[in-house]
Amino acid sequence: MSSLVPERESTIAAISTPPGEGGVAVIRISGGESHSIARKIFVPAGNSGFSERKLCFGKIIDPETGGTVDEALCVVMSSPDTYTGEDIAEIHSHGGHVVPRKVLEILTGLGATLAAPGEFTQRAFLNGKMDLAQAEAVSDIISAQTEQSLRYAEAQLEGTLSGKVNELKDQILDVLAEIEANLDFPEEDIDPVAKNRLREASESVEKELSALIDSYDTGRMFRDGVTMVILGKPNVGKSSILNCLLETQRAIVSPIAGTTRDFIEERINVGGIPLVITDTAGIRDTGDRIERLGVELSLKKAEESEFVLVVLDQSTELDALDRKILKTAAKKKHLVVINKMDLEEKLERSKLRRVLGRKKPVETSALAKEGIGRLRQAMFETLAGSPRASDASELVLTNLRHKKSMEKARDQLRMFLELLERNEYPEILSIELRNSMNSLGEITGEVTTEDLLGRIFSRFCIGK
Amino acid sequence: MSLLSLKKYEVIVIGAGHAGCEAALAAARMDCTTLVLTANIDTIGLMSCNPSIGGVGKGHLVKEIDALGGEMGKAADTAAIQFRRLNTRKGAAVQATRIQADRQSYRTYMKKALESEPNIEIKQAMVEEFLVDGKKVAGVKTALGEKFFSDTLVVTPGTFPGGLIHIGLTRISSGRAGEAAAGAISNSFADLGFTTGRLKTGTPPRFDGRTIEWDKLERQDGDEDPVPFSFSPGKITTEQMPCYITYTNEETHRVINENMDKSPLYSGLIKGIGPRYCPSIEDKVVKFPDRNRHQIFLEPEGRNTYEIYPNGISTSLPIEVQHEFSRTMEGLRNVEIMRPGYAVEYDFLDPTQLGTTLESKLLANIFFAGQVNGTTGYEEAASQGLMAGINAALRVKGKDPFVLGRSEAYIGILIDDLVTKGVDEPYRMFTSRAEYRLILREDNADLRLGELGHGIGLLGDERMEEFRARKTALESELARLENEKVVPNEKTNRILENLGSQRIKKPQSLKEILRRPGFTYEMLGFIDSAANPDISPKLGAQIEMEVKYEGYIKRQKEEVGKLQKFENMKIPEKFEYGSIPGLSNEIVQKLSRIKPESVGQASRVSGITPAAISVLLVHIRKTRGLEQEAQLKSSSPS
Repeated sequence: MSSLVPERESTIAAISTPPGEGGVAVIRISGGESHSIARKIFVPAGNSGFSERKLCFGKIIDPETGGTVDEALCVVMSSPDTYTGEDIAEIHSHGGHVVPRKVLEILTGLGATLAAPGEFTQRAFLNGKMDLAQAEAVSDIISAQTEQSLRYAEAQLEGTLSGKVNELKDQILDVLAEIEANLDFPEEDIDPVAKNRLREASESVEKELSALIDSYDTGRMFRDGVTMVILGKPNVGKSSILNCLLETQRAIVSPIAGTTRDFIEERINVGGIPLVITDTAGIRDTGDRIERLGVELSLKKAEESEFVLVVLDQSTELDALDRKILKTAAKKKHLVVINKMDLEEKLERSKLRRVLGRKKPVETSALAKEGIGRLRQAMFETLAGSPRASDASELVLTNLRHKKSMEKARDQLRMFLELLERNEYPEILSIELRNSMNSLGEITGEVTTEDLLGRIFSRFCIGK
Repeated sequence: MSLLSLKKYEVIVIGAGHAGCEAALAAARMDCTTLVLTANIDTIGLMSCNPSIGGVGKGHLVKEIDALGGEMGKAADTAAIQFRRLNTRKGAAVQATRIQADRQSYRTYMKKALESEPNIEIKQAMVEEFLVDGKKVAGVKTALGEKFFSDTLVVTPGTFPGGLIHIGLTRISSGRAGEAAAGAISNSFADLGFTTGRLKTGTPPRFDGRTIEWDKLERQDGDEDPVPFSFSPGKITTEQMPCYITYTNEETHRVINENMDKSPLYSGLIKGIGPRYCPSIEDKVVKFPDRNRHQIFLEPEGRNTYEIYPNGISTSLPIEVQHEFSRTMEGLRNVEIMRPGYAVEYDFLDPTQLGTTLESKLLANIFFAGQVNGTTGYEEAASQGLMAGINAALRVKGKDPFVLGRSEAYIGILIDDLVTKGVDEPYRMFTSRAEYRLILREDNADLRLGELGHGIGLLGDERMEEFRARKTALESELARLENEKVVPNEKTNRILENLGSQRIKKPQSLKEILRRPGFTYEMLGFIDSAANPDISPKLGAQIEMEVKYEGYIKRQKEEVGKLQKFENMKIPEKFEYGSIPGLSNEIVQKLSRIKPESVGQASRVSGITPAAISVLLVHIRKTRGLEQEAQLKSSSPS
């Protein structure tokens, strides 16, 4: 029942700025916990501290690792004089795909839930923050979303997601029906609850949920794309490879090391995965101040990106710089390219193997436009984790809200399994199963008591 | 005109079954002059079907009735010939009380309870027509042409409206074996514009206990230490009677299958829908062909009779087939049937035509309760009767209505389900219908509802004092368990180990130790130096569950709190759903028909989406804003 009505007590968060590239992104948090959550994720610089309604400079940190995510601004505003009428915190971070999403992920980890479309406005309205004219407008927005969500729901219905979710819900319902039948009909001649059967059935659902949750990374990649950096020493042919991938002459290439000093950003499509590629300045020990700045930025850029393409030169030996680059790349999904295959081999493969282990490098000659097809294929495999794009029938999660609901459902199912092992009272076991079904119900719709009773009466002959 | 005919009652109750009795007693105890009209005074408080009260879910209802100041619990305790606690190996929330009752003493008790109430008059009359005054009900007219006038009316006719009994292919117009149906009242429902439907229920044949070979049967005794329904103290000392268990077998099923063409259920004669949880033996055999036996309980009908109620073989097969299949069972080879089993079809009123007080939305001051609203079971009927009687009395006194929420009582769930969702089979209570099962327990019904019952003037001061004393004892003991620390020492740890529990390394509160799996309140006594000897085992068990459920109860209460806002957000009665943009036609039609009283109730109407609720919220706020604006304008000096 709880998912039928909007929850107002929870603290919600969302990226309020439009998606895509942008200098700054605003992440808004509203609700009773918003200030305390902001204090966990944001550390003001120096001794400045937070003060009401004043932008404050500082760092976004990941409380789990303690690491810095970004430098940012933050402001806290107290109820009732805010947009929603609740306590609000806003974080102004750098824009783009990576940082805001990371911030949102940390916020949900700290207890915020993702805001439903229009939920800030809805809360503003419910808290009496708007006049009639505004309320009219909100009503229009919400009803527009209704139609859209209807279309969305229809699309999902035809698709595989709701089918799958309903199937899993159905399996949980079977387990629940067995427990409930024994609770409500203790004098009926029905078999006692078989713990093993319940465990096996729930574990199989749990496994399927886990697999779906894991598919989100792939799914999200296909939907939102991946940021990628091409990294390598100067003049190994990074820009040439970029041009080959782009099939145009975008970057200026020359035999002079250090031709690329700033970043070049391009979008390409690899097997359906949208890639945002940054070609960086080559990395070398350099005295040129501007270039050194470029090098540092290159390494930083690599750390921020999701995928790193390391380019090595067939005609030079593997040196300390290559190793440094490979070490940076190893923290990410990455792929190693040996370019200039048309030249004489100086790069010792045995040394490289010791660094790469079982990872196979791709060999190309950007100049001769050779090996580019292999490179694309290898990039796809590294990213998607399989040689081919999954066909449409295979279910992949693309929506973070779906993923969150499934994670909740899985955790509740795990709790059920744990309590089952501890021989907890059946009415307690029932709560976890119901919670798990309700979490799945957030994706597709409700499970009603009628469904449950229907299941009980169809499976057990009740009738003392 | 004689003075007599001018007499007007505050409440008239039609029918004196389980709903009617509670309604009349509640209204009378809330100081209303009350007239009870029944077609047969000898059947006041009659248990028409099985001779038992309570069970999982149903027992919860009886406890709630008692906690509010109703009568059913006390009647059941008095008439009980066997007490059984169900689900004793599960947690407190699903443990429940059930008794076998002596049918005669139950109705004797109930009739006397009604007769003892100075505000109640009882008259034998068959009501045929409602008297209406504009949009309000004004009284009733009987089959003999008598008219009775009242401010309010509580209608509890059971299975009598349009009652039709089936035994084999024979049909008899009747509400209960041997009693005439109430045909005219059904027409009156239609005249007033009510939508009705047909439901079906059934009852088994009754056996002559002298023809049963008892020594061949499995015996089932009651509890050694019987626990009464009523919260008022009183030890049960009456001698208990056993029940016995037999089973159908393949021969039984063969006889039934071979005669299926004579069953009105399977020949299409019966149109009404029967309950899935109380199927006839024909249904069981057809729908579960893989089962080679079904359990049958043989329950005594009372102390002073040999009549036996075989629970589990409700049937409408012809009497000779009833004989034949009964005699296939162990212990019943020579059994004689005293009364035949039968199915009964009857009219019910679509309960979505009622508000949450059980008052009709079509006509003011007329309340409906019991089987006529599509429920089954004595407990469900009594719960509604109580609430209808209370609300009729409150209406008379010009006071606010009394409605229980889903998180407050099973009674609240029952009525909310009926008036929000309607019924498509006879409705029975199950604990699985409750969202907040851990909060709604039998053991805490007094704590949940006592103050409410007292507040409306139904629960007397004396009983309220008992309730409060229990509450204080419970709360202070819980506080003590939280504050009292056990320090780790050799003696304590040895005791803990002997109890099969782990040693402690640092001081722990008694509560933390009690929370350990398998640790009981009784066990706590061994390490609790300041144990309170006044805590009864019953209260101890309650304390134990409060502690063990604590985390879950807290979470459920938080959920309740969250949703309460929506329950409090009222929807104006004349709300125009059609004028709201963004609501689909289907949703507009549904909401216009059900007329939910709050946003919370609206969210439970089947097929209503969260998006529709959001749209609704916006418009309610808007309407309210307009009203306030209008008020400001009209009150400002012009």
